[in-house]
Amino acid sequence: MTAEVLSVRNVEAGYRKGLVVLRGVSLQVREGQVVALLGSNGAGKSTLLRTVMGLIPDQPEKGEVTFRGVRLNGKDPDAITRMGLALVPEGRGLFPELTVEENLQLVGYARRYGRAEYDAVLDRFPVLRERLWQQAGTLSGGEQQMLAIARALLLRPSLLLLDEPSLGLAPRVVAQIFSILESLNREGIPILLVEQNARMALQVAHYGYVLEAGRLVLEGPAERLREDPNVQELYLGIQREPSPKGFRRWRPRRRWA
Amino acid sequence: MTLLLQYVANGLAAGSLYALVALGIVLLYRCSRVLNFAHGDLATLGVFFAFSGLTRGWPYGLALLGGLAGAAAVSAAFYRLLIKPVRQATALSLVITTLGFALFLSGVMVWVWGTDTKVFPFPLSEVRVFRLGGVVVSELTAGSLAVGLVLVAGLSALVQRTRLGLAMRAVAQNPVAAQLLGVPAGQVLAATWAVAGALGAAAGMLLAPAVLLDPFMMLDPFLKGFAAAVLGGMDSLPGAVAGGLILGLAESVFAGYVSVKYKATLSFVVIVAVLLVRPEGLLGRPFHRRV
Repeated sequence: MTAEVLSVRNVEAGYRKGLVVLRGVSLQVREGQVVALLGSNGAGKSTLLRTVMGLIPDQPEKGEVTFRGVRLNGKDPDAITRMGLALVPEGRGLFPELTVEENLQLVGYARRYGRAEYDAVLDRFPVLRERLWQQAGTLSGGEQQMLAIARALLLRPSLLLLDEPSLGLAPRVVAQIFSILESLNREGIPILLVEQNARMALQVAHYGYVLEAGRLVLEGPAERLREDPNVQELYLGIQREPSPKGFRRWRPRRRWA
Repeated sequence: MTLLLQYVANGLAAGSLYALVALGIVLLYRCSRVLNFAHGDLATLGVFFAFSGLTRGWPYGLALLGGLAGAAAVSAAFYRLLIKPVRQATALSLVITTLGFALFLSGVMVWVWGTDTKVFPFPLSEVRVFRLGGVVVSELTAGSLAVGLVLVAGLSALVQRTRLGLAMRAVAQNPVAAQLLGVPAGQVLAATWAVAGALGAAAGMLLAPAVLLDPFMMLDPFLKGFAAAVLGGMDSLPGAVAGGLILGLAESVFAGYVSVKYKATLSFVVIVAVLLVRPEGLLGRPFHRRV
């Protein structure tokens, strides 16, 4: 087993006014791994990423988040980013009124990068090079997602966290983005991937967790999750239980709950 | 015609001061969504700092710079110690916080320096004048206009051309995303507050020689600057400058041709008229609320 990069232990977190979202979640991302976090809407996937990055003030309520053995609880998001975690947030977190180039230049606050590195990132996304002077808000959805990932890469993270990178994109663009993720992982960057698109996520991932209503209900290597009848029924949409009359369960049975 | 030009010259000089005040207010509103009602008192405090320096026999340059730095430091400290901790609060509670701080500051100034008016020594005189054709421009008026324009240009260079300016714009648009790129949003905002405080103090120092220094000196210019900010659009730095200059011109021309008495009223009439037609201000962006 390779070393742990990110370790989340018994984390309970929520928002103000007593809304508890995560009820004791533990997960690990190891060196070189792509880990997929699956779950339906409202399960707490994004909250988990936000908790790791310190985006929710005073959270986690309980438990501990460590990155290479360093405790992240209570640190500011910018400090966590400078430690080497990069989150591509839901909604991409671009600055719509800044140009593509300025969006990339902001990375300069976290770390100095050379011209060669900047060019290498742009070579990965040739579309962006053509649009350096355009305002980020005028890019198409796929281009915006690429800019968001490009910015994260320029941070040269030791862990990349992505929140729904496929959201609202055409299947072709989704495939493109996933192939970029795969090639990043081949270069050794561990990735924690939150996805609704379980099929794609389990194709690139080595390991997966299923989150439901703030609790982890299933974890295992990706191939085993792909075979799991519950995952197939609930997240991959493969139908089991053919009934003699062709009836279908209105609500799939959860066997882990 | 000469008379009109004279009014225009006076109006532009007053307007450039309003523009400086408005710039500070807009800068803070854009970056931190806080309407800073303590802006005027912070500016006055900066002038008092400079005044103290001058009475101790410091040279002009040092005293004025000291005043600017003092106002900047107090402004940044105010953000760090009072505004940031209540960041999760509503817009209203932030406004109350700044109002409270304004009262606190004016109290401190009354306590330390007293309420009597003071003559603020200044290298530019109000009495020595330049004559351009028939137009008479005092050294102070010319100086205010020049310094105002230089500061406006400097601020625009800061925001548009520097790394700090880029971070300011990023934090203004999306503070969370800025932090996720490793931009220390808290420090950037503190720097923004410092810049705004220094701008206000600069306006105060240009004003003090003309109106005498007392703890409530900036009340009227602050209201005018605020009006200029609303007029130009709270979100737009060029708007703040345009708003300030328009307000200064309108006041001066109105005072010359119609009535000096209603000069202050006029500025608010202008604002109401503009806002009726363009609620977002002259150069502001129309706000859309998504349902």
